[in-house]
Amino acid sequence: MTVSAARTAPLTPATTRRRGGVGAVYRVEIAKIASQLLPRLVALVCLLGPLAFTIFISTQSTVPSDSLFGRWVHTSGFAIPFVVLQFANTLGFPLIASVVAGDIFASEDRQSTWKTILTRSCSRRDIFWGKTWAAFTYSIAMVVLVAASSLIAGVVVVGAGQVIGLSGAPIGPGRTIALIVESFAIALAPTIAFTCVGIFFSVTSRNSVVGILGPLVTGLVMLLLSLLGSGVVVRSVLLPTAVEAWHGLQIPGSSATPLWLGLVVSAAWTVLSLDAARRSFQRRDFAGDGQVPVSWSRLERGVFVGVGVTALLVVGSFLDRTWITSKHVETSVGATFRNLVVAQQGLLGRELDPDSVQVYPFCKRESVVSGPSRGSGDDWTCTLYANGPRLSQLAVGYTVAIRPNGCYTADGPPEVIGPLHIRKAGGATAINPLFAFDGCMIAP
Amino acid sequence: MGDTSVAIDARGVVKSFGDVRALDGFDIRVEAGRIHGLVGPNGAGKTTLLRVLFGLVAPDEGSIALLGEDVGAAGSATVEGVGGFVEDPRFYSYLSARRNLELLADLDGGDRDHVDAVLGLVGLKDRAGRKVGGFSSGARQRLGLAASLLRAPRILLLDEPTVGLDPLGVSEVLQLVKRLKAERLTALISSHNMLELEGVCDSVTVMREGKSVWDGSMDRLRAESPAPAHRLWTSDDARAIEIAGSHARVGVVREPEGWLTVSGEREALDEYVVSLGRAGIAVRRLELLMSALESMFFALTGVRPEEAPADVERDRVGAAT
Repeated sequence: MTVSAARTAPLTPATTRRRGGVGAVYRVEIAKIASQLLPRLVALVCLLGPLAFTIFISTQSTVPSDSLFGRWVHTSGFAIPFVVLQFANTLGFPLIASVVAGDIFASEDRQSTWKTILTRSCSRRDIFWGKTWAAFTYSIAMVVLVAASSLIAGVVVVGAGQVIGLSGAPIGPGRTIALIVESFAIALAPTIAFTCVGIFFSVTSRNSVVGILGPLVTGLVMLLLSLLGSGVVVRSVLLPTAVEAWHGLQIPGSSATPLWLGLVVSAAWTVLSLDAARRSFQRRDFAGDGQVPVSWSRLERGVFVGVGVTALLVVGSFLDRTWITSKHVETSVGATFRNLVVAQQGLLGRELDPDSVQVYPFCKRESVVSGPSRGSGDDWTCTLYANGPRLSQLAVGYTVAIRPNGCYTADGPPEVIGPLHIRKAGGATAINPLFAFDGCMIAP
Repeated sequence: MGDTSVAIDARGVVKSFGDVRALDGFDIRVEAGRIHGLVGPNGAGKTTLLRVLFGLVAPDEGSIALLGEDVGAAGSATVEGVGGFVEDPRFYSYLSARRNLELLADLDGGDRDHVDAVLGLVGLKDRAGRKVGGFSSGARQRLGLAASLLRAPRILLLDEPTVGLDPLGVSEVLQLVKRLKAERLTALISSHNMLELEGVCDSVTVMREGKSVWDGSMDRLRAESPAPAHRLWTSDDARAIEIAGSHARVGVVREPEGWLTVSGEREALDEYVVSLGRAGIAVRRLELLMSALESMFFALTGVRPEEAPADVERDRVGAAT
């Protein structure tokens, strides 16, 4: 130590201090996040992952046709962001949210640095909100990165070909980009909610592993619950359902209720998680150092509560009334089919006015012997009768697989609707939009 | 706002962790510009008191004021003008020493101008760019001191600031603390080493089981301290004890380990050793067992200074709470 070197200088700066506040904590946290390996790695995956996926998928002979827009990934790069959005809605968004949020409080326990930052000019309130905003920033930045990366990768690798939307109508490039932006924007609210779940686990467990796994397990449970049934109540409280509100953007005249409900549900998860975390943080005694090992009693208690809530929701799923009825199926499949007929005829060089095409759909579940058909399942059949100029009386039978979220895949008979590939008016080959198609019903 | 001539004023502070009462009605009052020692064996409650003063732990009862400002409301920021550290200072291992201090300066309001100056002051300027993860505990201790000075403190609360330092480092830190006194800073330094604080502190509080068992000036402590104790090895212990009978100002006890414990002031001890020589008894070895202050520490706390009871970790009890 070189005390003598500074013997004549005052030991401490004689400046008047001002409080750091939330802004200071936020800037410090952002600087720390930018210096850490894991957040950097995840950012790299968000940046390059969609590109790698696009390159991989473009080299394959098959397409991920079980995803909405999956059958268009070889035709239009605009399909890529929608497919990526669906993949991200499985565990991607919880993962993005958990990387920073699950660790941002617990890492101070792991490194025993609470005493270092709590003995500066920031209150606990400043620190809580500064860290929370930093976690929000990271989550939002990663969602934006995935959206931009998948859009750019799709357009560069596959091209900017026209894509057919969930209503069966082709969408122009400008509108498609707007839809991609809007769809990922809808995903922000549930991602913020997962971020708050991560903050909750990080604060209350004081353990980074639990903090990071917490949102992932929560997301996985929600995902499984969302596959269980098509009931209105249980599905609506799940965050993946909130993300799926983007379906409605592509279907003219659909209700905005799912969008607003998704925002309210996301807000509820956000507020409840953050409030519980804030209370726990505010009243905590920082009486020791080091990361608290996960105690079995606390873990058991947490698992017990989690299993209890999950069991309640599982039971609720089975008791919940489905909103998917034959009327909804007929309305959606009929409208989508009509738009696709117009699109197919357009590819063949025959322009049709959509209003001049009449479609009469009759849909039912094969497994239902008597009574009304309702609910999700892959045993739906729809017989569609189409009439219109230049159309001979057309009767097509589609098998329709309806998922609990109301989206479906319809497969038609090639002998009636033609082969997978058709020759366009100009001679080029195109996918026959009627061969098989996807659509979504929007919950009322 | 209270009396600003009193830098630290804590009354009746109580803090329990479960069944353990870490602070049991503790009182302390330190006037501005004084260096005050806080001594006691491990588990006496020193670190808990510092955590309470920093607002890391909310007291169950009692009132605390630093620089006249009330402390203790859960979640409030550390009082402006108060710096220091509790236990071993910790930093972000993936950042350099300079970057750590810059971020801490940001938390204090964004004044980074003095980062290099304080790094130089604690002898870390040449290691400022290295990641803290590779620092020894001594280097972290220095960095902790630098981080404390960066806050332009008027009160420094230092918890065992010399732990992990080599003898030269200990001396330098203590010199630094002495210089703080010249700048009218108030310091509260906790230690379990009474001797270390002897040349630095103006006053001292001795803690035991969460309570203050002695409080006053260092001069008064010296005056009230019992005589120092020495270990003595002779060629004839039986006669040495016999001769001690004629020296009223020394006490001699035969220890089962094979030496004699001799307690008495320096002059009385000198006279006794000379008499042993005159009697033909060889003094084979004579060493200080406990200084006067250490004897006082022993008397007040019941714990020998070198014996830190490993089973009493009261200060760390709250770790999992």
